[in-house]
Amino acid sequence: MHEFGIADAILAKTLEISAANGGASVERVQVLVGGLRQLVPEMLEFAFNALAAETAARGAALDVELAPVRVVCRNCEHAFEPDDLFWTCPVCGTCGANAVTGDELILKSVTLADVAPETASARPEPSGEKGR
Amino acid sequence: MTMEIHVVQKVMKVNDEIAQAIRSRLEAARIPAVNLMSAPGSGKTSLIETAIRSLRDTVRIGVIEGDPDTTRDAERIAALGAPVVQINTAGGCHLEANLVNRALDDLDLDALDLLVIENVGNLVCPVEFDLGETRRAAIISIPEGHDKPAKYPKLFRTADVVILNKIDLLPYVDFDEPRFTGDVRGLNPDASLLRVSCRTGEGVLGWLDWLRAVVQPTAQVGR
Repeated sequence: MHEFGIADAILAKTLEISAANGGASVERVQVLVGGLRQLVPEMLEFAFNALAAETAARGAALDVELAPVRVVCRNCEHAFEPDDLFWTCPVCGTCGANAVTGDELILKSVTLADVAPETASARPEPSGEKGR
Repeated sequence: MTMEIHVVQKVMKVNDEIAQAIRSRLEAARIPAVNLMSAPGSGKTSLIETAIRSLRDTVRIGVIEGDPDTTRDAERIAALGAPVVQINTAGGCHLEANLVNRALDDLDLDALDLLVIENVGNLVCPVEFDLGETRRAAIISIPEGHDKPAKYPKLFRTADVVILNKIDLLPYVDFDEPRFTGDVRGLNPDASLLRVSCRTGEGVLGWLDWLRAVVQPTAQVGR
């Protein structure tokens, strides 16, 4: 049930953005979730909606985009998307490859409704983080 | 008007920043931290008790105990004279960095050589939260079954050591140890793999050696 902790972090940042824009109501929130994150999208949506009930994000849609898992073989450095539990390299057969992508958990965008033009804050600079 | 604001920020940013602050605090005090993760009842507290009893003259161990409720684990540790802080998560299924950071305020870091963090018993959620630890330990006990690494792969992929605990129960349980070992090795060829029974003492030396190597990384230790 760590979805609640993660939904809470998504909501906090979302409300920060809403507040910076005159408390505009939130229509849509887009997140990118890597395949290694052990998150169930439906659970994340449920948690987000439950926590958002009394806030400017009430009723907002949470779009969860899944990012694929990509790994690199520890032996021959072949990059591939694993289809077995042990991340066995299709080229040399070595297992236990190193993950390159799949741990993403990124808030991509927040869509606000009814933003009065005079309250709209400057668009924040993307921090450029691409997951660890 | 409708406005889409691009953010591109890690959702775990706050937790990760606090975890980094914990890491800096511990590095300044020259204390490594081990995050123990397992299902409830696999023997995390017993492994800590064993380590405190056996290493008390050489390694000063401080403990942070994470549990949804009660101070029972902290009482077990305090009975051995080791500094301990209990975190109650009030139903929460894992520890987060802010809880650990606050707990550190209640420990005299200068009087410690090693911090052991006992996470909430759970094979899924704790794995997702960096606590600023130096090493991750995954513990599985014989009655839980040999299939757990395959069913909870992320815990085992990210562990530095995998401890198979309660090996004294092997004769009584249908635990396929070669299969278990194969799965752990397949998921994580780099992890140390230890077999321990806190009840009989078998394999405890391996656990103590592993902890000593965490405290003094230069020490030579077998896998």
